[in-house]
Amino acid sequence: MAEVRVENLTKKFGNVVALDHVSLTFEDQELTVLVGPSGCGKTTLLRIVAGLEESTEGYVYMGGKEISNVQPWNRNMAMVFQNYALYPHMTVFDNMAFPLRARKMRKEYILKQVQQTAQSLGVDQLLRRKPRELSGGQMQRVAVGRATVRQPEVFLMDEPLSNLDAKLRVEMRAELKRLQKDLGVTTIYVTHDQAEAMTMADKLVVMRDGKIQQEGAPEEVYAKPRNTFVASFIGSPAMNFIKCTYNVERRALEAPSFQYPLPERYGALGHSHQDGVILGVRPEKIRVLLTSGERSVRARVYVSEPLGKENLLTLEVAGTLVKAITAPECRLSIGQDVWLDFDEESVHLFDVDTTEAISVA
Amino acid sequence: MRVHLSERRLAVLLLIPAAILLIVFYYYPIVQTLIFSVFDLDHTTDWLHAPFVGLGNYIEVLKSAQFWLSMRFTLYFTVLAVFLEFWLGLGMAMATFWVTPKLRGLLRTLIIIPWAIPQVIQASMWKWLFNADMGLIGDILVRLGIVSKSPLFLVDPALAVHSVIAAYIWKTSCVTAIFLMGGLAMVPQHLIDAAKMDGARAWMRFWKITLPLIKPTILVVLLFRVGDGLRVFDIVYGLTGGGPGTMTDTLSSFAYKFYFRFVQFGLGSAYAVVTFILVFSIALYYIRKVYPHFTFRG
Amino acid sequence: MSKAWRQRIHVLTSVFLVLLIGVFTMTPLYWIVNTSLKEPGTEFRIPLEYWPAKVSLQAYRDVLGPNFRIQDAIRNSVIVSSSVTVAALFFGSLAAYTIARLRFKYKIQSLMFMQVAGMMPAIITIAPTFVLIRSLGLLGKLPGLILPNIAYCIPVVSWLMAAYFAALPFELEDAGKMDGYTPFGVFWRVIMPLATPGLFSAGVIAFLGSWGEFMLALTIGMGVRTMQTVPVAILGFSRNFDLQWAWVSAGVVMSLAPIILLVVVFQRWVIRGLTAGAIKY
Repeated sequence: MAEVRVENLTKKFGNVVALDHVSLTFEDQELTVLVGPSGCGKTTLLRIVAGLEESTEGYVYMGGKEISNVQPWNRNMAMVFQNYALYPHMTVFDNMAFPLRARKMRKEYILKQVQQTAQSLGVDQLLRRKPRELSGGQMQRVAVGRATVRQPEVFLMDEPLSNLDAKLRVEMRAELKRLQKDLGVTTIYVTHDQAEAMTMADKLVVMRDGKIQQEGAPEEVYAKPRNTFVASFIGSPAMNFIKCTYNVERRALEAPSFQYPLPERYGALGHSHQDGVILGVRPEKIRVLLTSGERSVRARVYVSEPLGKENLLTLEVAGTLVKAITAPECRLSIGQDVWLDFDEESVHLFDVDTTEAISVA
Repeated sequence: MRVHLSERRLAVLLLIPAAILLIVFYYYPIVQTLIFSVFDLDHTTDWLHAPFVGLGNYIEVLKSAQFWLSMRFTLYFTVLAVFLEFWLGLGMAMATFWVTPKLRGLLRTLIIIPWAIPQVIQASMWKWLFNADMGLIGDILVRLGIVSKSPLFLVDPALAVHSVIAAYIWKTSCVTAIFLMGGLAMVPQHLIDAAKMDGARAWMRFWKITLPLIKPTILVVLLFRVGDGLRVFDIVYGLTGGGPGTMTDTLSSFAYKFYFRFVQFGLGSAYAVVTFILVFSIALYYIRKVYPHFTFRG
Repeated sequence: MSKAWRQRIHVLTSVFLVLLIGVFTMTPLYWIVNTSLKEPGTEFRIPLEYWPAKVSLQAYRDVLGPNFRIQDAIRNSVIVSSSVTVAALFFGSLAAYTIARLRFKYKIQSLMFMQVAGMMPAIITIAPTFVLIRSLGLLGKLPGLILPNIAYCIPVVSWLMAAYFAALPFELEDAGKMDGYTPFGVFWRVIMPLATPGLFSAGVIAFLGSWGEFMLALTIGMGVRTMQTVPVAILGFSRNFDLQWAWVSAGVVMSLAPIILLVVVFQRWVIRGLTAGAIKY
């Protein structure tokens, strides 16, 4: 059983609070992704789980047993680093054999294991080479090989793909995810790239300023963000936000030259939200029309960016800029007046003061 | 094209002052000493009017028992000193990485202080420490019961050699420590982290990861320490004057006596040249081994 | 083992190590200070006094007095070392910049030229240098000591500064040129200000090196008491006043005080500078 749990984890560097009473469970055999902007605490959390840092407060458990005081080399976890951390003075073979040698395994066993692992990762031809002779992708595989060669109970990955070029990154994402499923090892994965997080995670944990903002399945976090930060961080291009006031009598959200009736499922918002409500809607949930529809809103084209498979439009509406995605054939010119139709089910409302999502009725 | 020319011209211009200084005070004297060494210069440096003796001085040097004594001492000194100062220095360097951060600054300051002390002044200090009647070292040994009477550190033939070495490494182990600190600082932390995660305990991390990675630094350090050991002068001159007799004369101090005590410029130069050859071969080895690794822009 | 216990042990062993190394490095100094505070003539008290029964500054007064005038030697050393440092930093940086940054065909050879010089034993250069200084009429005068020492410091300074220059981003020169500076202007106004930490390190090392330079100072200052630098003066003390160690110790303390202060204050620069030698790899 290799479920990992942290309880009330706090880490202070002097006066800076890197982690603020974080409690989290990393389910057995699941790939949990910690995602967030730089400085949100995700790497600190990972390093504390690894044992490379000590927490100021809080505990770490693995398989039900407390391991907060266990040294990293005794935790039976493997780590893949952002810059691979391959030992430059050793061959690929020696790099991968190192963890086994540390455990004083027999030579024949080491030989067999390394060969097998290298083969499965497609680096068996490189065993005699030194790290400086390898490409980025090859180094990354060797790093993964070094982590898997001894069948640890937990994988820790600290932005392993960040140093690869974009194309390679997309390829390796799929491979890593597949590998994790095949091996069935509990994995904690840290990244700042939300796309990577979305594609890889069984469970997504969004962090900011040392606190967990939201955790859940990727689809759930995407569809039901708990606050504006999560809403804007997950999903690309980011969710659009329009600051509105709520007109109680008309049951409508209002902004400069903008009026949008309150979506049904919100029932009736009381006067508590009268000062302001943030309307959030993702670019992919906006339809751009040339004629007005039932709940449409006026807008003017600001700039159009063709991406090949779609067009990314920036539009002026309600005194602010908003992005929408249209089909590539749709040609619009700057300054053109259009109408926007929001997918009502995908309109999110957030409180303007707390930035938290307003719950549906 | 104009840009390139002025850059190259600038380059030459910038180098010239330094080059002149080095030629006047290093390369010209070396050549001149070589010239001196093939003449018989008794109480004079006017080689233009002095008898030419060819290799005569050198033959005399190689026949001199004193020369071989000082050669032997120099080599023994260098080997033992470098060995001791390396391990002491390595220990101190590792200590600076091991201790708690608050103590690190203090430790470094402690280590750096002996380095700052000129060798000759250090010699005077140790002369007093080794003083047979009132020296601290002797007193401690007596108090600890190791000896019954304070030994004659600087006079007893068996001890003098090692007293000089001890005084020398007091300072140079700190120098070595500082250089090794630099090398250790170059070991990337993430490699140590990776080793920890791979299951390596402290001992294994040291031998398999840290040590191999500072090998280049160690090589450079050793080369410089050996070079320094071979040309040592100050501490010998200040501590024992070469005594007892000429037991603690190194090549440099012995040659110096010929220059300025016996005023034999020809013979002294021959001695100096022999020393030079020894040290120069170290320098050559350094150049062959280390220089290929340098890369510069342009 | 619990975390708290491990931390405690770490602190204890750290303190132990620091004490151990502290004893190793500080004991000789302590003993000299101890001796210097004894009244001259009382150093021989048996049993040995680890701290003077009566602390006395008499030795210091004597050493500063007309018979010894250690302040002359200190003054000489300060003059020599300061001049040497400034000049060596200047010429050495120029040379270092050429080697580290400019487009120039003979970089490696130039560096070798300088480094090999620095590895030579003093004994091979001493005789002709003595003759040269004598023929220039500078024997017994401070410039006779200053000039060669500048040359002696150049290898180290240029090595250090080259390492420093090489570590700066390449684009700086290009940006400077685009902004309209001549190559020298780029050097003087763009690069040099950024290399100030390196100058500090190299400066301290040059200062200490020339302060402690002995063979030449001995040879040139022989007999001329007013021109002696500190190392030579102290040696003279210990030779002449073999039994009056309080004086010698006071002299040593006074001569060491400025440089130890220098080193303690500039400790970080010094270490950075010395280790840059190892880092340039």
